[in-house]
Amino acid sequence: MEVRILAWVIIGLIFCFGLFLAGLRARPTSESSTGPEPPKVAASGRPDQALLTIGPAEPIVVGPGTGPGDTQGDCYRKEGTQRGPPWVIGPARPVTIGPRPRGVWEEQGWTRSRNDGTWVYEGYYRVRDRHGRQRRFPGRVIVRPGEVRPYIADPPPELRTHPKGPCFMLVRAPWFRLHWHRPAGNADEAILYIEKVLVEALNGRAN
Amino acid sequence: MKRITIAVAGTDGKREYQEVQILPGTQPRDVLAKLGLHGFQLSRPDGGAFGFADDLYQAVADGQKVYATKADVEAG
Repeated sequence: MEVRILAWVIIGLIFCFGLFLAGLRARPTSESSTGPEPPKVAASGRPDQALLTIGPAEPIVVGPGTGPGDTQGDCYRKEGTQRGPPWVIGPARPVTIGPRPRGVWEEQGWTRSRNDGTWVYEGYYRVRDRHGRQRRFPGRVIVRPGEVRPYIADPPPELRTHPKGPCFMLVRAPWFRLHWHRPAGNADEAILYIEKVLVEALNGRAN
Repeated sequence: MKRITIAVAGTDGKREYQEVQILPGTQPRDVLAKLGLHGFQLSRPDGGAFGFADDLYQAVADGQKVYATKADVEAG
């Protein structure tokens, strides 16, 4: 036991002596110093900058993710740490939006108002002539129970030569009213019928 | 093949056939017969009415709405 303690003491002394010699060799002398002035030693005995080591910092690896409060999974990835489950991001579920069902009058931009049990539709009859031009004529359809009265303002002169031209009677300039042989049952049918007659009149076709 | 919508005029869109697919050469009478719309005619998108034997496929665009209206409406 005593031998072992003695051996450790001897090893310690040798180690301290070695340190002492190394310190003597590292100490600069005024004669050999040609470079800049050695660092000053602070009052506490520790050198100010001699042991200050500045090197590259520990690399920071930032991967996809969010902060610690995120519950989606692994959000902060650092080299050497275990990765969380992969995020799968795909296209959102598509929403299909289609037009709601509309009548002819609404589809063609007409308006409808109600007055004392009468529906009044107002808009434009729209047709395309043989030259591809869009033509439109002010229109009005008054719908009462059991009766559909269509009107047109400023119809084209070509209507006079159409077989149904005489069915348009001037009621109050510039409005003409169409008289029925077999009446339309609703505003949509009246609008489509008058547009059909207008196309035939403008393009030289007739029933 | 084109997909069109056939809507019956005067129903405020309550009677619509939204998924009607037509092949080249399809005529209005083919569509009307298939949908059971007897006594109706199809209206042209630009005004006027289709003849029963017109080339419907050539005259409509894919996704277009075509109105069916009663054929016996007549001025007089």
